[in-house]
Amino acid sequence: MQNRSTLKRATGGILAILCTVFYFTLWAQTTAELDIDRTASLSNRPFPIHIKGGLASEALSVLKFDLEVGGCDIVAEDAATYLVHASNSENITGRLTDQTGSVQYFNRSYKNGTTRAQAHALAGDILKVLTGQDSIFNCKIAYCINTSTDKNEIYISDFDGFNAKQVTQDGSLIRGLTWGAGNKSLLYCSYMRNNPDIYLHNLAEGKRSVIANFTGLNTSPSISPDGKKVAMILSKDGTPDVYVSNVDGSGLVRITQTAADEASPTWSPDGSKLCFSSRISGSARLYTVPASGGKMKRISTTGVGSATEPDWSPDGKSIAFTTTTRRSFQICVVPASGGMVEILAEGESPSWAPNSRTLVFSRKSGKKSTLVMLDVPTKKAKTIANVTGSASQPCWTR
Amino acid sequence: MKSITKLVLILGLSLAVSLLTSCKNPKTPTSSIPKLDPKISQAGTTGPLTGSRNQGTGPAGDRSGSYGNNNVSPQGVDSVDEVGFDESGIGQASRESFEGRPMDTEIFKDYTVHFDFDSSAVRPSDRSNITAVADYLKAHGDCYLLIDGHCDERGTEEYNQALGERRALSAREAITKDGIQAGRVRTRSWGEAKPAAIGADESSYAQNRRGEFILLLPKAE
Repeated sequence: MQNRSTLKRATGGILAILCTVFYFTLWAQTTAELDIDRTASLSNRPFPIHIKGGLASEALSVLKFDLEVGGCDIVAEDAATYLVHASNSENITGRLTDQTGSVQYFNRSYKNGTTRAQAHALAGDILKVLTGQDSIFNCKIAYCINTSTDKNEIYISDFDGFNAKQVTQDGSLIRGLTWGAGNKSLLYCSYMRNNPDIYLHNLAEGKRSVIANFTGLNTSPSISPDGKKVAMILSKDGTPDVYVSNVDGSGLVRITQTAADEASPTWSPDGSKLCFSSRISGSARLYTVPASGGKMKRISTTGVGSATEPDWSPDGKSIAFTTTTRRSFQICVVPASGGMVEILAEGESPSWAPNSRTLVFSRKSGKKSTLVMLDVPTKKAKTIANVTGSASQPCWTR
Repeated sequence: MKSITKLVLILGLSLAVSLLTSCKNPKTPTSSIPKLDPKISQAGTTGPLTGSRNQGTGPAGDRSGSYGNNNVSPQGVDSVDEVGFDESGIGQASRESFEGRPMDTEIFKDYTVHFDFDSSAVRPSDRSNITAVADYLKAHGDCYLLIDGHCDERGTEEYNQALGERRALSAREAITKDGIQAGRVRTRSWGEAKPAAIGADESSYAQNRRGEFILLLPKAE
């Protein structure tokens, strides 16, 4: 009896082991793939960083904000990979080391300018070490503040929303806001003369000139990388199509000639191509065309149903755009040659920073729209809380 | 014996469950990959436009339907209505001929046309509104027309600007088919900036996807 029960137990044990082995083989197969995903995202983890020393509150909050925008996690000292040793008496002094303090990446003090500007410079130096990219914290952004559904005004501020200045006071509607050559001007479509027309707004002189005011739609201007040409959308000869002219509006050339509507042209950084959205296949998709005219080529955006508002990254590698679902807008990135889309965050109207890493876009919640910055590799998003109005169409100086 | 059966049962069940779950979650992610539209291969060249310019020829064909029939379909349908759009006579006249004319925004209020979601095709049920506007313009040869195109808020801003223009142009094309010279009709898109209804529901959206007719009276001497 005892023997039989031992045998039973042994058989049961063997069975259990076999089943368990089989089970774990299956389980291992699934988790191995999860691990691959996890490994891929490991390289794009936020940088764990800790700030030591006696920075005054303004400098400290600037530094924290910038580092978070740049893809850092501000953590406790024992969890940090990097340490910032910073202090400010009159000027800010900053040092970046590894966790032990034995490896020092730089040690610098900052002179002149405001405390904010010095803190931005320190943050820029830290991110330069971590990402290899030049600082974006000395950049400006332009955007619209909405005063009602059909009225807005242009503002320019530091990238974090500080030092905002109102640019227009038309009581009209602005669309397609973008920077002009050398960030010395703005280009946009305004309804101030009761029709959507394209203007060049010289910021130093505050003067405006018309680039396009044909009958019909004149919108979505985009300056070429060399600053000499403007791509735009006009409907003067048919349905909304892509055109290119000189900066003063002369030498106008029609680039696309479809029966569908095109929208939002953006230049490749070498100036050879334009990317835009078209409804030629029924729903909005991305296409490229040689900037001097030629055949349209579709950019595949695998994984999403529609694609609008493309913005070509300054390094030429990727295109940010917005996909529209029935209920929301999502910011996406796709390789410039097309392929699998990465859906990043809820929002619309994306604009690349010069580092080809940070995006600024707007996000609606209810009737209010806020500006959000996103570090694409780490997917860390940060609201620009200092822009308090309902803001849209943000664009980064390049 | 009982304990073995139990053990085998439990293990077998857990195995079955694990197999089932692994079946439910196939290893490849299931993102739907949109098919490439076969039409795209032939479209998109920048060759000359097909279709001849035949501005304002003949009376319109379709006069069916009743006046004021603004039935709005409860759910939008994505349709490929652009392919085959006739661009004849679409080139816009100069701005000067339109500017300085007093506007009458009320006269055609009941003749607003509506569009399906993401579509710029004029609905057959709206043809009667178009014809009524065309008839008025025929009777008042010194008047011009402005068509405002509008969208619901579910498209992005610049996309909606283009779509709104496309809608206004479709209405304009329909009016020219009713015998009105294209040179008398001007289009303007507002995108989603001027909604007719404020709500974030399908019935509001349906009211917002529209083309409005504004009468441009003769310039005051």
